[in-house]
Amino acid sequence: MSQEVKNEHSLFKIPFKDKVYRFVFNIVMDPMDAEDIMQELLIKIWRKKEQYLEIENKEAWCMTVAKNMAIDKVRSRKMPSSDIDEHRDISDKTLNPEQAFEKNESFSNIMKLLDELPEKQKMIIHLRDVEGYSYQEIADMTDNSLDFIKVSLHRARKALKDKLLKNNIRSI
Amino acid sequence: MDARINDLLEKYWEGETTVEEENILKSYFQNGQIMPEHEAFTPLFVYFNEQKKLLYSLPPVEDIIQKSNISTPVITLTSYKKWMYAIASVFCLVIASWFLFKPSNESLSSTAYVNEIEDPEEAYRVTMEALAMVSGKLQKGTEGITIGMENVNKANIFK
Repeated sequence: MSQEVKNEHSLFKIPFKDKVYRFVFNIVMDPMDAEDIMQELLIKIWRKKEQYLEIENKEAWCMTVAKNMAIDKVRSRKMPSSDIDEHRDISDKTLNPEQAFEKNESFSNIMKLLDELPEKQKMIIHLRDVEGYSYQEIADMTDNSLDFIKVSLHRARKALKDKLLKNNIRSI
Repeated sequence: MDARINDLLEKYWEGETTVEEENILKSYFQNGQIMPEHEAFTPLFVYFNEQKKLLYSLPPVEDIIQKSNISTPVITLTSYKKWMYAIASVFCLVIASWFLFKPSNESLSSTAYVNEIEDPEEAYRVTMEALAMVSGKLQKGTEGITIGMENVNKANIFK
């Protein structure tokens, strides 16, 4: 292993890498695209390592950069992304095939409901309800005001509630 | 407990819950003892819990370094604009040249008039006139040259 690589191993010790990946996946809804974006992000970190090391809140920086890359990816798609069902495969060994099918179906329905939300609302729901970020952290990551985050979260949850009641998706 | 969950759910839909309260709701929907009126919301909260299980494996550092060293061609806006200006300039020149050098209608019509003389005598007369005019011009030109040459010869004699 070269000295350069040894020295820079610490650069890629990113404790929040899973959060970034999930966030990106939530936007692009495609594991291959999410992997590509993660790789692009890592290359960006490597190329700008001097500046990156000086960044105080690396997590917020990575989330913001990854978010922009993911949005660009979605917008650059000439064809609509393939069906969400194809991208969701929850392999839970504790479930029998029927239960696993129901679970996958249920998640696909939720993903479709989330995908129907406006882009920013979808991001905000993910950052809050999956990752548990504070409103202020979400505001910083998405370049929005605190009030905007609160209002958007409220609207997104209301919309989800209405859709869930309407569709009455079967519980897992 | 049921009343508390109802309250928390109402707060949740209004966007007024804290992260801790949201975790209580997630636990409630995860443990399986869910009230019938809440069942419609179960997939959402279970989905949030399951999302946390998605993990990312970093590729080897060597791969990242190798890929980052491959330079990608960057087409800057500036160079793009330069090309656009160059193409626009050439286009303008072509258009301008067309208007400057295209044969005018007037010259075309006069040519047409000359070609339309069908009477041989008239054609002969017009031709002779034209030749006489050219001859006159040439005569004037040679006279000038003869005078000029005489002056040159005079200059040579004095030497």
